[in-house]
Amino acid sequence: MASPKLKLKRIEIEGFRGVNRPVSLDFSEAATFLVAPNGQGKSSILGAIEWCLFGELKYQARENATNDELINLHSVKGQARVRLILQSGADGFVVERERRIGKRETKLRVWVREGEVSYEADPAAVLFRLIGLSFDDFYRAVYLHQESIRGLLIDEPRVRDEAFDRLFGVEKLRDILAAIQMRVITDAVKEIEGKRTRATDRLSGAVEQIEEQRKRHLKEAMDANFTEAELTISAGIGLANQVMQLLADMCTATGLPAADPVDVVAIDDFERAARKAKEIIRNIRISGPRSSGLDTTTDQIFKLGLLRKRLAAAELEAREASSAIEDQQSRVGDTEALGKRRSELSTRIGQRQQQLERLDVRVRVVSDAVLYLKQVPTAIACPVCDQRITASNLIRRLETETQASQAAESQELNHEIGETKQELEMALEAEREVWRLNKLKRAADDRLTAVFKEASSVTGPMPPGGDVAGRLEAEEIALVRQVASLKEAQGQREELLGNIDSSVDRLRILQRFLKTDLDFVAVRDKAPNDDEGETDAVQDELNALLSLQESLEVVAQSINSVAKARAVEALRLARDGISSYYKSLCNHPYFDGIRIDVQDKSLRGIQKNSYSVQTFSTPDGKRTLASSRLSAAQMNCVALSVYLALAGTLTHNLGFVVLDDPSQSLDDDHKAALARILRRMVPGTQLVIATQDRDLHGLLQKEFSPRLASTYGLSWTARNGTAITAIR
Amino acid sequence: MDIFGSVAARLKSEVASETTIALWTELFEAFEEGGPEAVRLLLTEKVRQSRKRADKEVREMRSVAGTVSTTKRKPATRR
Repeated sequence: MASPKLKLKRIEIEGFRGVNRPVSLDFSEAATFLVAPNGQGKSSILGAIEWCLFGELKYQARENATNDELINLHSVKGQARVRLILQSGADGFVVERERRIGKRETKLRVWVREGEVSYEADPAAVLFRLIGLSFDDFYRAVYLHQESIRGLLIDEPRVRDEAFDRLFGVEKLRDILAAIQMRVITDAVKEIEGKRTRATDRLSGAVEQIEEQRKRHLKEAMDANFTEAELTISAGIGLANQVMQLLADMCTATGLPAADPVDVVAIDDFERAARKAKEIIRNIRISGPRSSGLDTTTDQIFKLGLLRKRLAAAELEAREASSAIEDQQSRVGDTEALGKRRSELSTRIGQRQQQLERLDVRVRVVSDAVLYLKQVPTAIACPVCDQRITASNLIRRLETETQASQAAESQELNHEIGETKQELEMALEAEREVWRLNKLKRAADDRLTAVFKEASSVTGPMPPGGDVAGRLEAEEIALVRQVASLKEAQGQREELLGNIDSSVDRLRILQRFLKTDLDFVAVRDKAPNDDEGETDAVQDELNALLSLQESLEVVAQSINSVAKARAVEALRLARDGISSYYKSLCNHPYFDGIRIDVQDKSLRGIQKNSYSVQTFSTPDGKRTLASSRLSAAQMNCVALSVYLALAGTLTHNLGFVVLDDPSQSLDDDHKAALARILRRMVPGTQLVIATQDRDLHGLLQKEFSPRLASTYGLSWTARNGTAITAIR
Repeated sequence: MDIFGSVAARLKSEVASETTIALWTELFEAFEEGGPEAVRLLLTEKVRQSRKRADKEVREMRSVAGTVSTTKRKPATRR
């Protein structure tokens, strides 16, 4: 036997929305009326039931993550707490929910009242099993919210359809369907297709081009004597290592420092190795002659040549100096003879000058005697020779002799002195010439000695009178031979370097081919061959998107089908109830029946349920759209009829219905009809009705005896919040 | 039956693929988690990821095509 449905027993509220101070309310088993003007906290108390059971409020949009608007502004504890006591037969259940300000999560506790067994592990699951109703269905089956009715009364079809969808529980489907935007996918597909086409076109062009390049580089490799088997990376690595090894050996042989090793493991290393090899080859070529001694030897040969020229020049100069001296000596005699001659001539000049002086003295003596005789004419003897002679005779004789011999002798002596002096001058000149030539000879000898000395540093110590020039020549010949030998060695090295250089060029050719070959393979592999049905990753993504689009279309179709089927089924189940409630509640004088149909409606590509609410006259068979013929109050009756009928079709464990202000726009007759209908629901269903409508309250009081119903009045102040007062 | 189950059952009855049913599950879970915006984001993200992968692949194709050196025409000599 099924357990009785859950009914509300008691609610305790603190700090929730309009309620601040703790309030409590005991529900009547049949009906509880909350009667108060607007703004006194009716909806807060009804909302407390909803929040306690589900932790959220359907018609209060969250304004932030924590949704602190739930908590009363003046709550001292800064928390909302609602405790709801539910009764099912003899069993009592307590549901308590708390939430602190600033916190996102609520704290839910559920326990069985008898024995206080608490469900700590998963209270939400326990609660769901207890009430057997989802949050969305709660609004369809239990809680007639003002907003639910208002939606059905609005003329705009879209809003009305949404309200019906909510009532039939398909608004989620509708929202999911609206959120599925195919255009995002179709746009992406178009864009990717365009990009793919452009990329594949480019790739196709690249394949052709690189194929040409590959052929060209293959021919180049073949021309460089590569066999097809050698066109591999390992062959390239081997070649590169061989080149580097040869160059290392050459560096060692030429005394060059060893180059840093190049690690060749991939194609890209080939170029590095080739560049390094070229650098080493250049260095060896530059430093080769220097390191092999060729430069030094050539330099020595040049210096020897110079030395030999200088030696020849010095020898020639010395010979010419000797020859000039010999020639001079043969002409004027040697230095000794010249000295002797100069001495003789000097002596002779001295003798002649002495003779000339004596002659002069004699002349002066004669002159003095003459002068004396002239002054002493009486003298009869010569004052010189004491010869007896008269003065006058003696004067005549002296004058005659003196005049005749003196002139001739003096002239002769002067002549002889003049000639001797001239001869002496010539002898002196010859002596100076000999001295000059000797000086030249000494200088030439000195130079020759210096050259000899320099040559002996090349040839080694030479014995005096050795054949320096011969030795130098022999040395030069030896050096020339050495140069020839060095040049031959250098030629061999150059040949080897040339071979290595060729190998480096071959390495580069191989690298070019291998690189092009790799690129060719990469490009060819990347380019999809549509003819052979190959697909690339882009096409895979396109296919995935198309598959997603297809799946979404299927999902959308299913959602639409389910939405429509659920609405149709709900209406089928509730049709009789709706008609019955409509007849009782609306009591229209002409349109005595109502019919709601569901149709598909495509809105911006999305299929949606569209509801047509038609009223009809059974006797005349006339039918019309309800919204165009019925008043707002009558439409309210339609909404109440739909809600109450649907509430009865859903299966769940809750035995109460909550109605928030159900009498909007109703006149007295309709209110009376509503009160009667509500009365008929008791005792099967527990009613909780909040209203500001005193007329409805009066009518309800008429229908419900005090035994069946409890009435509470509400008052509200800002600090304390809502206060509850039992009226009846 | 809840709406998730109803749609899933409908999909199965129409012999929809496992992918389609999994997609529906994803859509519903996203909706439960964050409403219509979450569904939109889920689909946008799927498309974005797909587009991203495709773009990457296209870039690779272009890059591979770009490795082939193109011969450029010499500019005409200015007179």
